[in-house]
Amino acid sequence: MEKPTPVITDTQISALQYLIANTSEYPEIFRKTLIWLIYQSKKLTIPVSVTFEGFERHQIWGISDSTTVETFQTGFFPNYVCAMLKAMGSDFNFLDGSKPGNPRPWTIYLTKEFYDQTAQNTIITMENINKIRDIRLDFDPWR
Amino acid sequence: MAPSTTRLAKSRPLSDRQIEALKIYIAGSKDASNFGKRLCFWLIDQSNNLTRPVCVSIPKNCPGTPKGQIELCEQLLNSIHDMISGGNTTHLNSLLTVASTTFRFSVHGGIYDEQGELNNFHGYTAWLSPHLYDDKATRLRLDLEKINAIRLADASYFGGSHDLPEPKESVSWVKKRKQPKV
Repeated sequence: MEKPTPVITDTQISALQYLIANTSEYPEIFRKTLIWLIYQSKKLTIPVSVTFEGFERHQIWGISDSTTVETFQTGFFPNYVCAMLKAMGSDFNFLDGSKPGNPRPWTIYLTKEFYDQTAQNTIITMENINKIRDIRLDFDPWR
Repeated sequence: MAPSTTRLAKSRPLSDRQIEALKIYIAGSKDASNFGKRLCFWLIDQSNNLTRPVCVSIPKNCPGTPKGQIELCEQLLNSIHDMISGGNTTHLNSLLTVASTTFRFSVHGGIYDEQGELNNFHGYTAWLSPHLYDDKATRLRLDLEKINAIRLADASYFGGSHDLPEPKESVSWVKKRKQPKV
């Protein structure tokens, strides 16, 4: 029998967004993407993913590809951010992967299953990236 | 600014998985010394998965205080303060909100005297309780042997047989305060 999904409150979601917004070691667009995925998942109840098409991961991050790879290999992300979801009691996790291609489309998942292909996917291109860029990081949930 | 407890969901004991995640977050902090992190782990363990309010005092200026203890006392203040103040990269009390518990870490100058009053500045006290500077929290006896035996690496995804390296010097308000005037 599947484990029941814990009820997540608005306060928990706000605190999670605050934590991610303040994880300043990650690029702004990346933090915004994670927060956007949380919105899309409807308080971590729906598996979702976002695919960036037309540009590669390092172009989105705005840093060198080697830095990106190194960041991922250290295990500091996504584990550090995933620890926040785990602390919440959720079985959802962030995960990312690139598919073959040129440029390689980059997908970030917020799902229970690894690389869940049934997740509700949104394609982000240069034309509609503003829906993520427009997310604000400077909010204070306690105000 | 600390979140208002009235806005929090009703506190519940955290699961072992949630406790594990809390410890991963603390172990990965860049704002606390390894002693500060171990002390947090110990407080979490002593609180029975955040169901029992606890506190611990470390005396500093009492006659006969070992020199090493003075340093530990500073680390207690710096580490916990820097992980909860919101001015650094660790937001420990926000993570406790994420975990849906009303327990919070707090730290203050002073140690409890024989009358149970926190009325002097001969050290610092740290709490893990739903109430700020909770006078009713169970007062724990500092057990350095147990605290120093805690392996931070066990709580990190990195694993391995070695302990975590000490973080770089954190920018603490106490250290800032002690900067000589130029």
